[in-house]
Amino acid sequence: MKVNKNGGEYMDYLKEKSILLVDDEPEIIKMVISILNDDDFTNIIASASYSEAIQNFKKTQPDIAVLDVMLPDGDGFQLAEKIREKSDIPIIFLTAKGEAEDRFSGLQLGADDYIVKPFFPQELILRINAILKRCYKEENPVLHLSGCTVDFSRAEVIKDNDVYPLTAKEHSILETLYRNAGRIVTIDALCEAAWGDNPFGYENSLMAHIRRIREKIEPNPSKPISLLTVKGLGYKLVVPNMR
Amino acid sequence: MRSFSRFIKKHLLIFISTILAILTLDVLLFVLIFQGTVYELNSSSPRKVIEETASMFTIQDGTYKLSAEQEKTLHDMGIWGIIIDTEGSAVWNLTLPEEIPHTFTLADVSEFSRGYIESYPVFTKRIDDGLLVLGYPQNSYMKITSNALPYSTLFSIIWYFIGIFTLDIMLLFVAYTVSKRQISRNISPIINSLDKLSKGKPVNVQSKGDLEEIGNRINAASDILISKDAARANWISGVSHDIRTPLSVILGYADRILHSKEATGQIQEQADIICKQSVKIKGLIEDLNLASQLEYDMQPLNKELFSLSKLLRKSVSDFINNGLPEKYTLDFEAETTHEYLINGDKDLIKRAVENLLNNSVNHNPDGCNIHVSLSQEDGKISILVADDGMGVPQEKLNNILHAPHYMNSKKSTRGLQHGMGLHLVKKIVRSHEGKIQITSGTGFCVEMVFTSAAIKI
Repeated sequence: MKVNKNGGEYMDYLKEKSILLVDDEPEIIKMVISILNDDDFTNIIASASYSEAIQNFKKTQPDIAVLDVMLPDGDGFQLAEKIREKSDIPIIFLTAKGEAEDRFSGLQLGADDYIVKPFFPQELILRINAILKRCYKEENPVLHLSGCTVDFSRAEVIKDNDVYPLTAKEHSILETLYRNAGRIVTIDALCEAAWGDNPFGYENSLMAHIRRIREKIEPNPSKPISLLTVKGLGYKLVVPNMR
Repeated sequence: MRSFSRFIKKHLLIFISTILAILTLDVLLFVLIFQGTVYELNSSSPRKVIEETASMFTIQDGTYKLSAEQEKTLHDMGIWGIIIDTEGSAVWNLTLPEEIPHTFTLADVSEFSRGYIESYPVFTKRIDDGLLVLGYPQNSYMKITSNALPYSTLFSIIWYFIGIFTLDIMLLFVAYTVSKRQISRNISPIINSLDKLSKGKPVNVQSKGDLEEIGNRINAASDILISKDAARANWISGVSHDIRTPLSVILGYADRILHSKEATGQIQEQADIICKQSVKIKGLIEDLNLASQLEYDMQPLNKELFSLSKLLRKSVSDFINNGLPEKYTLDFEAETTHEYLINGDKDLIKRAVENLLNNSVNHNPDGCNIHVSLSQEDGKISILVADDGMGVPQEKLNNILHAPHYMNSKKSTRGLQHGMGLHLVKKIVRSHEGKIQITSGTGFCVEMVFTSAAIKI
């Protein structure tokens, strides 16, 4: 199995997803394609206009769409609406229109993300990967950590040939950390993942759950190497083989 | 508005002095015009004529005789004369009209002595034992037959005049007050809008009547002001929009070179510099755009209640997640376990914190420790962003604190510039009615204080 710099071999299936890329600026198209290629995405359908994008969408049934807002023969918001009529694929706006209003109208249309130009190539890759992981997670196989393996589909941790089941809360906390592997996830985001919108006062419960997760995944729970605490902010999951 | 009531008071003074001047003028005119009449009245008054006539009589052979000269004078004036003796019969007469009788009873005498004989106004004077009567031509004099006036009436006339005068003055004041109030009511929206306009705020005056025209002009001026502001904000937004696409390409390729395995160390270093500078431009155009939107009120604040501790944890985590070099450390500490909510624009507050973090990183290329903390006191909640880096010299700090940013300055930009980032932070804090405190000794420290809207314990 090929090891990928963004999170291990289990992500390979995501790299086969087809990406519909719409932008009227050929330089941007060229550059984004090369960025995506660098990250092993190969299935990219580029379109320079609204009509071309509609055609390509019907023809190829992409798995995710990255849309510019200003197009010569229409706008990306209309395009997103058109796509939404037929399909639930994730949509990311990649646009030079940075005003709050535009961002709201984009997100209101059910876009999964809104990236304002100029953007970091890495930022685009991370967001595409995160959204793909979230949207196509039923295919999620196993997560290899130093010292254990997590099987999300069966909610199990395999450590030293022992199997530890994960509770529902532990599962959602660990999954959130995994989706943002290598990045700090705030305690607020983790509480939200475990207890729903706008949780308050769950910090102590979260600490208890983290302790129990550590007992299952860490070789030495009092000296964690995978699930790290970032004081004052939150937690971070360290996955081996990450850039 | 105060200057306006002063203006009205001044006009009241002018008003009063005008009334006084008119009264004085009236008196003067009266004196000048009637002086002649009065003099005339004195020189040829009936009283004088009758006195003269009486002194011109001589008695010859028991009958009265008037000097020829006086007879002529009386004749010229159209005056007839008669002398009545104690018995009531005329003993002397001069050009007596036919209808005048020659004998008079006591009642007749008492009747005419105060008035007329057959509608001739007559004047009487005692002469020896008789009565000299001079009759003036009909309609030459008006005699007041009832010339008795009770003292009470006389006094009440004085009071009457005083009363009328007072009433007049009062009426004038009422008229003045009403008109003043009316003018104020009409003018105050105009004054208020001028006040707003001078602060650069848009206005819409709804004035009716005579002042409608002025109101319309002010509205037109306000529209020009707004459209100029809008044009400026749109221009900035358009330019920043157009820069974004080429900048994406620059940033994208530079980043690709930076992470390319084929590039040598030196090339990667240079690509890194291009990346960093592109990021600076990216931040700059975003700040410029936001600041101009805030400056010209083009973008209403998107206010909601939110928890500052959550927002700060997210901002700080994102900042670290986006790749903070190891020479910097960044930590966050909430000095309170309670959750303080403020009513504000989440994105803008986050932007302010990010700008401060970026400043710390950009101004300390050799690395530093950055500390973000949240504390509260008396319903005020404050965000502190401090670093232990190089800080800024006092002179530059003064410039940061007091010099206007070039966006708000008419002077040329040389020597006035301080960062767009900090300028935007100030603007954001001000738009949230907060306070900002900037200090620098070792390191640089910015404290933003907001009013807490609610607390969750």
